[in-house]
Amino acid sequence: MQTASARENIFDTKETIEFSGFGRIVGGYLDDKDLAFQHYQNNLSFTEQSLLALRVDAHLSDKLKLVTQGILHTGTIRENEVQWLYLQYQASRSLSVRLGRQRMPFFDFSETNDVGFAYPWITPPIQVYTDFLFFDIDGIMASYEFSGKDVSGAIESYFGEFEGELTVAETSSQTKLNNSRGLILKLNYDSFTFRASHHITQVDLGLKPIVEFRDILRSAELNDAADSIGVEGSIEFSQLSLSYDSFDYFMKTELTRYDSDFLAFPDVKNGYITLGYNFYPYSLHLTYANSVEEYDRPDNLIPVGINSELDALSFGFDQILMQLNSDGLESVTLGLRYDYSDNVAFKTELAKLNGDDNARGLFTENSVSNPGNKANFFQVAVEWVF
Amino acid sequence: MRFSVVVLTLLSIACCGISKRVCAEESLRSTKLLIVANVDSELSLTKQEVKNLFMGGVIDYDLRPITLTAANKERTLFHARVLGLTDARVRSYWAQMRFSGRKQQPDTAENEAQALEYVTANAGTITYIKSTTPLPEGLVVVYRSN
Repeated sequence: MQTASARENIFDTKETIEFSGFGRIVGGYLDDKDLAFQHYQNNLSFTEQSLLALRVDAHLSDKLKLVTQGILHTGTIRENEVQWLYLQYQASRSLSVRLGRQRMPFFDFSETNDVGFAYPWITPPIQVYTDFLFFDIDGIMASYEFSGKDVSGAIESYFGEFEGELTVAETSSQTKLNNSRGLILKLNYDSFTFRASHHITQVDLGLKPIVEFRDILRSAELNDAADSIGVEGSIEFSQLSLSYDSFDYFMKTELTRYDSDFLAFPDVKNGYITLGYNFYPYSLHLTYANSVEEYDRPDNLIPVGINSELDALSFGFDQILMQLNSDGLESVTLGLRYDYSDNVAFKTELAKLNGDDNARGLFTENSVSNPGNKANFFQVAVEWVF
Repeated sequence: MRFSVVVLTLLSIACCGISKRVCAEESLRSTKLLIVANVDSELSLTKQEVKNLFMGGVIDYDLRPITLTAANKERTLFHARVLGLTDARVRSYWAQMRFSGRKQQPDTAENEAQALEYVTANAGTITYIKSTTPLPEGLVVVYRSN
């Protein structure tokens, strides 16, 4: 058995099965007793983001390996799961192909969102790294690396599908993604890394209350109204990011945008910028993040005052629109990381959260008396890899 | 002129007498690194190519990098001078690459002597050494750090 990513020593024989993993214990506290954010409340909790993962790389030949990664969560909404299960074929030094269950590579840290040791934050900017956008698709991905004297990079593309439960704030639904595909370009120059990606997927959010209400509208021959509250359609997702890493300073910024052609998925623009200073073994970061959401709300054309049935349907239609919560949120976060050893780091973070007025703002519980959703969020964490 | 040289030398000796560690660190700061490879012909790499190679990327040449364990100061120097990163940042980078399945960390030698022994015996391998280390026959310097 081997527990390191590379051979412990170059003169050792390379193992055919490698074990590795990561873990994190994360505590959080919200200073508002009427709100909950990412399920943290007004008492210190260590259960929402703590986790332990084990990864196995089984080398079937020089070019072919089987990779699987299982994860145990203490969180209230995430289930223990096998996140990865794929075959990876290294066709050449530049070209590799994966086939099987893998994470859709929307963002810089999509594939390592759970590996806190890999990034400076405790909670990556939640406006961009929204939980529900981490789909583990079944599909195929190809990656081609290239390099010149001063520039290097990679082009990646994937195709796949997903079926599983999706949770946004308190609302869960059985979701299907079909015909999901994307193209990713990465470039490295000096201390800069640039990434651009574009993704398209067909989605069926399967939101039962809306689906059932649409059936009622159709049975009343209100087909236009039924069609206007869609829960399925296509989503286009675009992402741009730029990182700068030097011995003393670092900077990361990532902008994302998704556009949907149906009601239940909002058009969203979000992004963050992180500025950091390294004073080894410490690093300090200041992060500003923001998200703007907008639903393309249809007009209620169901006539009222004709009979009680139409009145009830019109009321129901308005209720559906009212349930579409916006998650616009602005935040400023100050964080400190201390690298205790080669594989253990401690972190602490304080975020000032400022949700849009009269919006959910990614809070999981809202107070009618505090519609502004403003709170301070404090976190501590231990991160490790093995 | 001669007086100032004598004073500086005496100060330097006093410094070493007071703290060997301080002197060792000073000496390390002035140490330059050589990136050496076991290749058939003369080869020169850019800093970006060396960086790319030791961070798991591909370059035009088929070379296999050998790094050192964390106990070696040369590794810290290599990270700082060639990769331009702290040890902590390099470790978090490898955590990201490792668990995204993107890139494989270079194999590791216990120390510079072992790295040189391995690279000398294996064509197509590359490592880093102090510029003061005698270069074994058959190895080519492909990059010199500042």
